[in-house]
Amino acid sequence: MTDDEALRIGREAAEDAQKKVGGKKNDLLKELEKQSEQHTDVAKAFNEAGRLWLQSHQETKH
Amino acid sequence: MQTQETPHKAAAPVTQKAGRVAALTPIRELPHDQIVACASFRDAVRLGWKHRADRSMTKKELAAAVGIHPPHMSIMLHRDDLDRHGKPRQDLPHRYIDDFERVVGNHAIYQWLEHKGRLLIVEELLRIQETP
Repeated sequence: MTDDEALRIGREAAEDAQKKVGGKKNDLLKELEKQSEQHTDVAKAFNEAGRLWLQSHQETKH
Repeated sequence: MQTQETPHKAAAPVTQKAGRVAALTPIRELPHDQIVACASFRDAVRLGWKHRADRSMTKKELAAAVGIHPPHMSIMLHRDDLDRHGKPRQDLPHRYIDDFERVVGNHAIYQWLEHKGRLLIVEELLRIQETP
């Protein structure tokens, strides 16, 4: 999974979750946690998004 | 009493021990509530270390197994982000995450990064929608 694919999958999952549960942050996070448990590619996409953030954060810091 | 050893001489036996432990221990997931309670990457690294499969493993052994200079590992596992001069302490570099998790035997960091990724994407979505 490329970085772009990961971000696309993550964003699509978030938009789908919003259609289902509305726009409250905690409801969205809970729905996305469910999605991550059910779909490995969604879980991997969020992990990749987290890694990209960390990588960028560490490169800026050091 | 502390003994003076060169890092090279000290590393070999402990790396073998940690490697055996890692090879024999399946990597497990930690409870979700403990992951979301981590406020930072440092907290997640410390959580992974706290729940290491081999409770007798020392920081020195972990450092040798992961390939990090032991004093640096102590800095990376320190509770506080900042030192006494207010300078940021070094975090575990991202390229060592997989080795770290294999040695401690849990996915605390992986799980926290997944949580962080979810949070970032949700916040981005809400921010875009709030922008007029």
